[in-house]
Parts: sequence; structure tokens; C-alpha cells
Amino acid sequence: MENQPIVDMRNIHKRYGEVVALRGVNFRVYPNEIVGLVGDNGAGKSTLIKILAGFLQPDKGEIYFRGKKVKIRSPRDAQRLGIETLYQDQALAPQLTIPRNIFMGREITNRFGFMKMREMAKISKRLLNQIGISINDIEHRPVATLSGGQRQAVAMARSLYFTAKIFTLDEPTAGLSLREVESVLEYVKFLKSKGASVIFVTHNLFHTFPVADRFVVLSAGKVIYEARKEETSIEELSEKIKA
Amino acid sequence: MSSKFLSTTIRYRAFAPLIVFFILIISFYFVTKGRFFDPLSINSILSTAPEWGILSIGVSLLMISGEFDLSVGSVFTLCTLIYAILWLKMGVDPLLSLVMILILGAVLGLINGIVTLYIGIPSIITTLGTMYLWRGIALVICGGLPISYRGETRPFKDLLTGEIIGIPVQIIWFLAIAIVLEIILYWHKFGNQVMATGDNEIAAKEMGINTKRIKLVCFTIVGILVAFSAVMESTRIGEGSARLGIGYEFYAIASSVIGGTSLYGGTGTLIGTFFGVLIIQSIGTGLAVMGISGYWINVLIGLIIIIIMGLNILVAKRGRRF
Repeated sequence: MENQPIVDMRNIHKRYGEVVALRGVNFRVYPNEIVGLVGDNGAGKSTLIKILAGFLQPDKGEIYFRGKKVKIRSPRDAQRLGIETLYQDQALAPQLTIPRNIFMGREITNRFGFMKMREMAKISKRLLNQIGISINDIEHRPVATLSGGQRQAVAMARSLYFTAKIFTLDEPTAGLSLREVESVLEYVKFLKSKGASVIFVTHNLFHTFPVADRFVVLSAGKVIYEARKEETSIEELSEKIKA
Repeated sequence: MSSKFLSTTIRYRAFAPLIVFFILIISFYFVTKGRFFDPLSINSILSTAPEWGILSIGVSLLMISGEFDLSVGSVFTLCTLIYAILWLKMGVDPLLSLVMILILGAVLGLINGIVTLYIGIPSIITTLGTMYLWRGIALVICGGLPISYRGETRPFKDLLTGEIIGIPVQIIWFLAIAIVLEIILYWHKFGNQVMATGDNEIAAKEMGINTKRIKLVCFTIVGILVAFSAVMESTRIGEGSARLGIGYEFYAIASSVIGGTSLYGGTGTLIGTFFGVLIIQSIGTGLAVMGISGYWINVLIGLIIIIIMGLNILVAKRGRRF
């Protein structure tokens, strides 16, 4: 890619007590690309993504956003930059209704802080329709009553509304049925078509290979391989992951 | 339209405790052959229930955020004592004393919160500690003797213990506080963040909610409401004492649970707690009117907690909750 990366993480180190999770990782995301961040369990993928999302602080290293050095101290900082995360656990509160979940932490309010419930419900409905999922009675349905795929859709609707430049999806296909995996992959393509970049974190190459433009393989806290899709194959990548 | 209203009402979690409350008082009405509705017993329910009910509203809110406070009874007693000392013994202006007590309550609540959230001790242990600590300090201050203000003109007597068109003002304070905090809980973004924090704290953090700050505010609200209740009861009985507020911490949790607040956080209603408080207080009064020993009240409260928890779990299994 000839153009400037949106995000450029340089020499990132992170340890949890005795355990070293990341040892000098360099990771870039370019505009409008889907990056497959792959590696075995414990390779450091989640740690790297959580640092980008402001959920963890690196021990060492810098992050540049559109060429400017930034500090991402909290999830809110990341959101402000336009880095939106879809977590493995989907970051949903099961007992709360769908609109309350979509707008959790970023409620639409009047100037006194009271929520505009109808507006939030209306937007939620519209977002879910855009994703192609219809759920009835959304303003009363606790997320606990939804199926796995519907929950995924709620988490996606949230990121869709808060139009971000980079989406990070941490194991978005874990525990999903084949049909639900299909809809996640459709969604990843949909985000790209809207001009966003996507970091697709997974240990399942078969899910990420069809959609990703570029792959970064992490192993034991280091980047051991990087390649564009044209330059590599599933076989080569899985060799690298196992190595 | 009307069926929509009906379904919304039934879905509202405070609906169940409301029904239980009405069944209870109607049963008492028949069992006592109408004596339960004697103005004296009604008056006693409406004026004494709020004294521990107002602080229970705060405890519910805190429980919804996912934390407990066992120290409310001790903070309560310390507040009555220091309030009496301030205006009676030290001659501090009563209004200033009241403000100072509210600040004291807020600070004691804040201490619970800071120790819990920033040192990382579970709140049930932190507040077990402060429960002993503050009652101990209250006993040390007064040597176990009450500071009585019999014969004194009690400040805020009408404001905190008077009547409006024959209704004890305490119940009006109680209902007003419950409604205001319920509106905040359900319609203000703070309330949404309280529920999100209690329901799934990790998710709330991932969405950028400062969950520690949310909980800290809840601990502080509890402290302020305890202080307010303390001044109210102290004004009615005319003393500050280290022996007040005993058992309030468990009444508060019991009324919250009866009112539909989850012990695991994330859901609950403060109007539900309002009825939970009235249920417990009516049982006490009802038994007294029936001439049954007050000792039975604990038996009944215990049974009701278990029955209501059981019902909640059954309803939850069927999947529909507010």
C-alpha cells in the first residue's frame, strides 16, 4: 500500500506479571482494508487489540493515528479517534433492552442527561434492518432473550451507528453456527464497502481468509509473518501459525 | 392502547410487589376484622416505615450497580448521635447541623466506595468492617447512653415529622425520593449506566463507562439518604443514640429483594423497594394488631423473601423481565 496507514502501532510491549504477552510488535492498518490478525491461542492477538481499544496500556511502544502520535488511555479515547471494537463477549448487558445496549455509555439525551428513549428505539430498529435482521418489540426485549446471531447483530448495530474508521472484531465467529458465521463475514465486507478498515482477529483461518486483504501472524508475542492475500495461501498461513 | 398500557404495567418489575402488598393488607383487613385500618396503625406504618425505607432506596440503587452496603445501620446511628451533639451540645445552628450530617453521610458512603473500588475489597466485606467500626465509634462517643432532646424544641419537626392533610410527611418524603431516583434510574443516562455496570461490568467498561465512578456515586447516594433518614428518626423520637438503626442493613436488603431488585445487580426498581418496605412494615403492624408476638415478624419476613426469590427465579426462567 502506497498510502499512509491509519493506525501504526510501533514496538508494542506488554507483560502481565511474569507472562510476556507482546514483545515488540509492529502493526499497521491501511485505509479501507481488512486485516486478518491470526495466531494460536495465547499468541497475543487479544492483548494487541485491547491496547488499540484503550482497554489495556502498553508497557512500551507508540501508537500513531494518521501519522500523529496518540495516547489511548481509555475505551473512550479510542472511540473518539474512530476505533470501534466488537468484543468476543459482544459487550452486551443481558438484562437490558436492545436500545439500552446499543447506546450503552453513549446514550442520546437531552441537555439534562435524560434519555430520548423513542429516538434510541427508532434508530436501533433502523440499524438492525440495515443489517438485515428484524427483531420485534425491540424496546422491551432484554438481550438475554435473543439468539446468538441476533446478539451479534445488536453488537454490530452499535458499531454501525457510531461510524468508525476502524473496526476491530475479536473472534467474532467463535461459537457461532455456520449461517451466523456467513452473516458476520457479510458484515465485515459491508463495513469495508462503507469505507472502513477492519481488523479481524481469529485463530480460524477458514473464516478470515475469504474476506481479508492482508494477514499478520502473531506467535508468542511477536509478528512472525505478514503477507497480502495474493502472496500467500491458507496452507502457508497455517504452517506459520503452527510453527 | 389500553392493552399496551396493561402489558407495560405488568412488565414493570414493581408490579409484583405492589400486588403482594395489596393482597397482604386486604388479608390483614379481613383477619383483623377491619382493625388493621385503624388510623393509628396506618399512621404508624406511614411514619415509621420511611425511616428505614428512604435508606433502602439507596441500598437498592447500589445493589443494582452490583455492590452491597451492610454499614447503613451503623452510619445511621452515628449520624443521629453527631446530629444531637452538634445542635444540642455544641449549639451549632440546626440547619448547618443538618447540612453537616448530610455531608458526613456522603463522606462515610464515599469511604465505603473508595475502600471497595480502589483497594479492591469486596463491598460486603468492606461494609461489614465499617458496620462494626462506625457503631463502635458511636458507642465510644456516648458511652452507650442516648443524647436525649426531650423538652427541647426540635428543629425541622414539621418538615420531617409533621403532617400534610392528615398524612405523615415522612411517607411523602419517602415516595418523592423513590420516584425521583426511579426516574433517574430508568430515564437518565446515569441510571442506564448504573444498570449496565451491575449487569455486565466488563461490557460497560468496554463501552467506555467509568464503572468505578458510577459505583462511587451510588455509595455516596446511600450515605446521603442514610444521613437524611437518621435526622428524620432522631427528630421523631427525640434522641441521638448508638442503639438506633440496628438491623436496618438487612431490612434494606430484604425490602430490595422483595421489591424485585436482583441480588446479582443489573436490574431492579426503586418503586418496588418502596412497596417492599411497606410490606415488611405492614407485617409488623398487622401482627401487632392481631395480638401476635412481634417475634413472629422475622419468621414471616424470612418466608416472604424465600417465596419471592423463588417466584423471581421461576419468572426469569420463563424469560421475560423488564
